[in-house]
Amino acid sequence: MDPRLQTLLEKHPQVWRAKDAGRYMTAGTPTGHPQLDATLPGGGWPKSAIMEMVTPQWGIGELQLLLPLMRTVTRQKRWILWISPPYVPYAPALEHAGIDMDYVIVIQPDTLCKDALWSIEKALQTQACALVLAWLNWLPNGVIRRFQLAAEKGNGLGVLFRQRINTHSPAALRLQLHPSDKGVHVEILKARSGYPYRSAHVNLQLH
Amino acid sequence: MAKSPVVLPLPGLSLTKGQLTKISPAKELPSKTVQAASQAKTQSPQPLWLALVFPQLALEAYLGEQQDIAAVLVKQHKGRSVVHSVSTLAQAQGIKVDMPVNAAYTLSPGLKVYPFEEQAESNRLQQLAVWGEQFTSKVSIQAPRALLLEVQGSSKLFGGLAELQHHIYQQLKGQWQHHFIGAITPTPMASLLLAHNGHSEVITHKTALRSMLGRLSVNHLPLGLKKKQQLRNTGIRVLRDLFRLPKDALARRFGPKLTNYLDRTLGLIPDPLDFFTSSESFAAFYEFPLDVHKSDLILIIAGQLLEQLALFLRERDICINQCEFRLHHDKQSATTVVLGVRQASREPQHLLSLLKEQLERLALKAPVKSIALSAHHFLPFMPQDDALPGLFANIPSAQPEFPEKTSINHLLEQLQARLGRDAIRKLHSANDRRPEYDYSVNDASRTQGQLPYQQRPFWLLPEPQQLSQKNNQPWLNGPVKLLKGPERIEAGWWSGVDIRRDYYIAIDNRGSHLWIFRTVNEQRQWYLHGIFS
Repeated sequence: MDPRLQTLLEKHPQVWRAKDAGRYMTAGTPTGHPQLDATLPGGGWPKSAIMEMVTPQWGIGELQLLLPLMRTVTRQKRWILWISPPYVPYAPALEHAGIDMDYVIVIQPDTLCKDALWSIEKALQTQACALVLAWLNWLPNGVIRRFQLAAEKGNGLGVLFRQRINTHSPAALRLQLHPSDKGVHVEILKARSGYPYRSAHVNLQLH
Repeated sequence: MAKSPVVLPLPGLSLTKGQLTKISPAKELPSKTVQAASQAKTQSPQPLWLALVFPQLALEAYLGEQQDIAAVLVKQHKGRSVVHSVSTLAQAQGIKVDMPVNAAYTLSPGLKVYPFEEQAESNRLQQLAVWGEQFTSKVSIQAPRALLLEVQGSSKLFGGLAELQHHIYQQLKGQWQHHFIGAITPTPMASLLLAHNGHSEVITHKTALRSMLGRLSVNHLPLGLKKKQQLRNTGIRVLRDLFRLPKDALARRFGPKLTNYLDRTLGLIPDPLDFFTSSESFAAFYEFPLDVHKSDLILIIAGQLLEQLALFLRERDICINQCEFRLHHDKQSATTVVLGVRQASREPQHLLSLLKEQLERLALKAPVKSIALSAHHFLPFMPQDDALPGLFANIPSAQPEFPEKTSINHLLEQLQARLGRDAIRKLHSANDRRPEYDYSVNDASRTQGQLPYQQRPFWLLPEPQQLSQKNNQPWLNGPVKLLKGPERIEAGWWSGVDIRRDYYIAIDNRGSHLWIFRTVNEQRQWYLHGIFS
């Protein structure tokens, strides 16, 4: 290596090297899908972080992906907040899937964007609220950074569902979902200390 | 425990020295006072009643600070306006109670005339009763303008009867600036009788009552004019004459009411009173010197009002789950902000943060002139963690392993305060075969899993969406391919919302798994009802 580069690296420990991937990795929460755990850095969903899920349309298995996590969270008697979901979360189906609806709170989709963002931040800061699911179209990077700080404070995971890819985002994990037969194809767009990014096929039973 | 008054004393009236009512303890009876004090040591103390009579209560309540003017309150009596109460200056000009208002004008052309309002008078008396509660637990309102306070029980606390009396009189003169006459005797009626007739006496023993009251004219008795005339006609001038008459004869001639009254006055028979208890409600008010439209200024004042509320609550060891702010505007109805907390609280900071959330969303329609805080329903104070019945009553409280165990309550309160009650929901199964009725919102009384479970999607459309059709096939931005079905759902005929549908699981050309149905009727329409996710 060029000695100048060497000194530069020594001077600036913040410079991240792909070689070091995994060194700062923290263990994740198992997703409940073995194929996905094998792909994600840390072997699961990130902890105390913000995650983005980009899906071209709703209803390709994005909730199924999170189902094992939602089950665990409500079983631990921690709370899930759904903010501005695109449709009505259908309680009988969710209950049948093993989610304790007592720990699910839904904030109506007609809530103002400003109020919704505020709610997400407050919920993420709250320890008892372990999972915040939000469906919002307008999400500037500054806001996501604030959410990231809030999630670190509250030890929760925030999942932002969106339909369009933005070029870059401060979220800890970004996934792109593609519909496929018998499940969903998960492409990692970005993962903290998870370079190189891979993708996985997750088998799901949608119905 | 001494309660501090909820109602703050109003800036009062200015009194000149000559106008002060004589309030010094009766000088005629020093030996009696000493004697009673020595007796009190040997036996349980007799109650002593302080009667406070406010002769100009209505006028003083009406005039406020500008006491030194010639003013009268007038009332309607038999179709005429007559004088109800007279200020000291007007009295000096010769104006008397019950004088026609025209006559009063003749005597004093610059006279200020105001209508007498009974409500204002009784409100002020009520305020005085609340104030009196700091001295004794036994306060009785003797409408229209007298109070009775039992002062023996608490005299020790204040360092003796004379001290207590001094204390009370000082506050009446200083804070309230009311004219008053106070009399202390062992019976309520005797105290009232003396005070109403301008005698500021202190009598600590019953045996002294007879001789003291004996000198009073019968005109002072609370009797009708006819009865008084009757007494005078019989040659009875003072109370002593009455005391000397045989009781049964007196009762026969003047009715048992009179003898009963005399017995109560002398303490021969007990005289139970209705005691006043301050209504458990809190009200505080602040008027801005200038109209205000900045919410941060409002918040500062609101914070001070909440501090007052917190003090009120702490003194009574109670807490609230709701309080109300009213922001008054000029010429417009007031803006009301109701603060509700899920966990009964008395933390001013917490309530203030909730108010802040609401004010941020609220567009004030006009500048605020004044702000009022009130609270009416109180709960005994409990240290944390008993969920109150309400919207989220069936939420189990968070487990202790989580550090902030009430944090979810705080979060929900904050969300409710900002987004409104209806924005936050819980969903539950409702056991209806019709999918759109098979979930309930915020329903605590749900039942679980009685219906056999069929494949259902996680997402449901709020209302079924009609799909277009091509070649008798459903179409949603392309052909929709049926995967499973049909499942016939036929229910609701009993409630008028009757459905007959064949449900299918289908996939559209973008890969979304849909839950669609076709109506079982002539139209055979396709609808999208849910999405598997």
